[in-house]
Amino acid sequence: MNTLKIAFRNIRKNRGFAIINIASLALGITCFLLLSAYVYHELTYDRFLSNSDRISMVTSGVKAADDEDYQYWSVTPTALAPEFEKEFPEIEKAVRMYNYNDAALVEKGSETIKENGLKYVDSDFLKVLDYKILEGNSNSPLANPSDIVITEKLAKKYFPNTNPIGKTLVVDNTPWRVSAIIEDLPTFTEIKFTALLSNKGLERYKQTQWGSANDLTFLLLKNNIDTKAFQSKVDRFANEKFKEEAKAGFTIKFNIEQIQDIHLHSKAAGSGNMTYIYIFAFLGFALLVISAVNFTNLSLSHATERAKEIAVRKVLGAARKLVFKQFIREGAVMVGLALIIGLVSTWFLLPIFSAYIAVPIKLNIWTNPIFYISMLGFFIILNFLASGWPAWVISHFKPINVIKGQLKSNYAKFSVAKILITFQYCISIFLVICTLFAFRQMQFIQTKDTGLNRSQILVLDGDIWKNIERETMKNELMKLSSIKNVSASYDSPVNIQGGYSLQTAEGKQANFKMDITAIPIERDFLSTFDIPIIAGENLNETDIIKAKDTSVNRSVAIIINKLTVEKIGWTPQEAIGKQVHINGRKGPVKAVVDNFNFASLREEVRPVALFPEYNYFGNIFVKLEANANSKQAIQEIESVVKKLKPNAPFEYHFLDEDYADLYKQEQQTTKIMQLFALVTVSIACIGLFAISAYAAQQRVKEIGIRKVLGASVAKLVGLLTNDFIKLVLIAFIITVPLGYLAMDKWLANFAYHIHLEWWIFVIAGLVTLVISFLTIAGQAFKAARANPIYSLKDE
Amino acid sequence: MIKLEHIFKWYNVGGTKSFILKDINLEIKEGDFVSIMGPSGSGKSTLLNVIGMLDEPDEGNYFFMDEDVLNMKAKKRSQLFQSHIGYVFQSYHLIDELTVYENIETPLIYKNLSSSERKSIVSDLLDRFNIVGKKDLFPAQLSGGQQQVVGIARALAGSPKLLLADEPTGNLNSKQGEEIMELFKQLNEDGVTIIQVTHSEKNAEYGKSILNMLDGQIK
Repeated sequence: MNTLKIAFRNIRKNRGFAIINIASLALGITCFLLLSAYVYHELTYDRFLSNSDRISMVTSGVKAADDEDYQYWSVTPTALAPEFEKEFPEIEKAVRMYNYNDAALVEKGSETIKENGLKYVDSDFLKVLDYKILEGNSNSPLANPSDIVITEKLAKKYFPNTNPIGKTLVVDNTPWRVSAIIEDLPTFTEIKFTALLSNKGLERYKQTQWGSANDLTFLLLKNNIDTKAFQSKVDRFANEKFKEEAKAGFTIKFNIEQIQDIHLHSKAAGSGNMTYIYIFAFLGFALLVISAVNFTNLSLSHATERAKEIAVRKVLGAARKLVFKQFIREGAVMVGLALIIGLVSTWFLLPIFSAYIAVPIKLNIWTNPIFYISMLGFFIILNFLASGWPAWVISHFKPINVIKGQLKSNYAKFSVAKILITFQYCISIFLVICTLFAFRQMQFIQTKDTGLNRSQILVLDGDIWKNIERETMKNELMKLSSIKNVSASYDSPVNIQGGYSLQTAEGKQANFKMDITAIPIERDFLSTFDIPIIAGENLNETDIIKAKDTSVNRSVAIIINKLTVEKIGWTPQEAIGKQVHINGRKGPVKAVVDNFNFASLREEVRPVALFPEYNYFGNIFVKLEANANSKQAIQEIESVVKKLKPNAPFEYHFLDEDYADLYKQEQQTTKIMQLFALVTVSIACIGLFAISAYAAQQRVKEIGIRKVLGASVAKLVGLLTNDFIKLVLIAFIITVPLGYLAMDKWLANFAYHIHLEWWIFVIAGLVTLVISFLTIAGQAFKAARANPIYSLKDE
Repeated sequence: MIKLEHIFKWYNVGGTKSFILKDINLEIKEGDFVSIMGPSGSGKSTLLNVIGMLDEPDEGNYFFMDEDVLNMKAKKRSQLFQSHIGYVFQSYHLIDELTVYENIETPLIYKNLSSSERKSIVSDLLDRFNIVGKKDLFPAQLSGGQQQVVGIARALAGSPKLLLADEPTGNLNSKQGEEIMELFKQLNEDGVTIIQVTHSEKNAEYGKSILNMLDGQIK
């Protein structure tokens, strides 16, 4: 207890030093814990299901003859689950999940509320994905065609004061009976929903088919399956099943993917990225090491100031072991404080961090005893790492030298310290480089002309409007002076997903067939988005009347992009009027438009077709006049919508948000990078500060001599900073090629990206250099200004 | 050359002044060789530091070659210092990381001399003090006497008019001490003004005049 008291007394005595030391270590620990929380969150995806190691998801891959790689889909045909279950003894159970209409309207009293997490599932769904059933029928809650299982959150929303079991929930005018309530889903799951509806009544499952894919399929496998053998059996099955397609050049395959690997490893359904996980794990660890190194450096630089105390202790008979113990204890107090501060600040910062990176991290590790045990282990390791070495060095001081004032430890010139500093700077500069490039790329994405004008476009839900209603609304809206145009389409034009195939029997290439992305559009689509027409004409009223025709022989006006025309081998002018087929839709090419990006900039522009089809429009677009006051315009739109659909919720967003959503992962990563680049540079600067202060202390006498010999302050500052600036330069030279490689690889993810401009590297280097210089210049200046008569005293 | 008028220097200890230098009046002419003697704490070193422009008095006037040192800009003062004053220390204060040659060269670098100029000056000094053979050695490889010779050579590199020495023989045995004193005598005969602080009566005798100090005053 006595040594602990002395430890506290010493810390209090050297408050400034102790604060810097503890704070920098605490900062490192906080960053490490925050990043660990993020990494842990990403790694635990879907592991909460008790059978998770036996649950697999079936995803599909399709490759056309001239495609380089497969296109991966998370969806599979309806026939897959039942046939797989029959075919493969490895499968205990196979279930499907199908999207309910994106915008279900659920009644709550007289109100209707839009819900978008509703899914149709097979009756055994909860036997495979075993979410915890809190109330209601836990055996077969989805056995009846009108059964609905809702999450706790939904239960609270629609049945705030009553027990929902057995009650009716009206969805789009159809009554469903609540049969069970399940626990809310955690944030770390790829399978998201708010309610599960029995799919028993659905027509589409009466006659299952292999021709289109719209269902998620989950398998519960038997224990101890040889997954490789199983996968090759599935491959053989797929080859057999799609023999005809293979002849046409299409390869179709089904991948069995473990549910817990979906998030980070699945190309078909994963929203995460393992590379980023490695980066963040490395970053967290590096930050911890850097701050532990700082702790060592600071403690050592401070130790010389206490050399006299130690010498006196030793002369008084303290054994080396005792001195070692004393310093370890002092270190332990500081490391302990840093750890506590780190934990507390992590606790407070986690929600902020989580909001900042837009990943809802919620961890319940605080109640887990393993967490505390690992923290204890962490404490012991950190203590030995951070204060073991200083304690050892200090306890080896020779008292006689110290008392004679000849203390000359070579630590400042010590190559290990320099290597550590250089390492810190490598990481700092690397992060600064990454941050700058990521920032530039994000800026590029924001400002690149994608060939489609996204500005001032409001997106409304389209699926609640019937054709007639929508047209009434459009007419009403067009009367407003603030509105330039109104249109609609199937999905968002910044992310068109429909996979179709285009055929033509006309022109040079008869029997031409190719994969094409396509989207049903409303008449004014092209003018709303300012997509330039190269040849032909925009859609007119006649085209729309034809489009509304539902007979088999209807003719559909088809618009294709320049690339499609080039691939077929026509000029844009030649293409006009040529007959083409798109999945059963026949018609002449009405217009050829310039290429525009209809997916993220990660992908090259591909062939795309647009055709009028007034069947389902998911989105309605309202283009505001450039000079319109958007706030006022939105109010006007709302009043029009409310007048026509008084019960429907008025929800809107800007198209720019859809666009930004495409780069969510990159945005997140960039934000984390920015934050931690800042932290790393700061921590590295603290380290540099410590070691340079230590070096200046060691060279006090030399500086005094040089001053007496006529050295100017500027010369001495140069002398003192030179060594460390050199380290930063070395770090820069080491890091540039690494940064170049990393950024080259990262930018390769984007089909459209910035160049690796050399001046960005230079800026990264300069920024780090200037910050480092400012960090140590103050110290050096102070040392250079000191009067030499004090350092050169002969007594 | 040096004129000190009513020089006072003190510390404030609990409201009362504790004098280190008390009304020092002193004139030293060019070509003088002065030894300052006195017990520890009598103010010898402080006086030397004031003369050497490393320390400032709290009161009084100091003229160096008819220029008012205390009312001079720092830059001018350091110029004056650089071109006229050389320092020799009791514990030599050579820079451990530099060779004998580089140690002597250092003040010349700070005077911004070209490397050829430096080379000729350093060679002359090495010659003059008979240490040509030791030019590539480091201070730790030399005896105390040799180190002090290097220290003196370095002090003379800038061809100063005034050489200040604070106990130059304090760390040397008597034979080495004698050699250094002989060297000083020789330098003085060559026209260098020397002020040395010493404890040894014998060494003080080498000077042309002796100042005795006690409690901050000249006796």
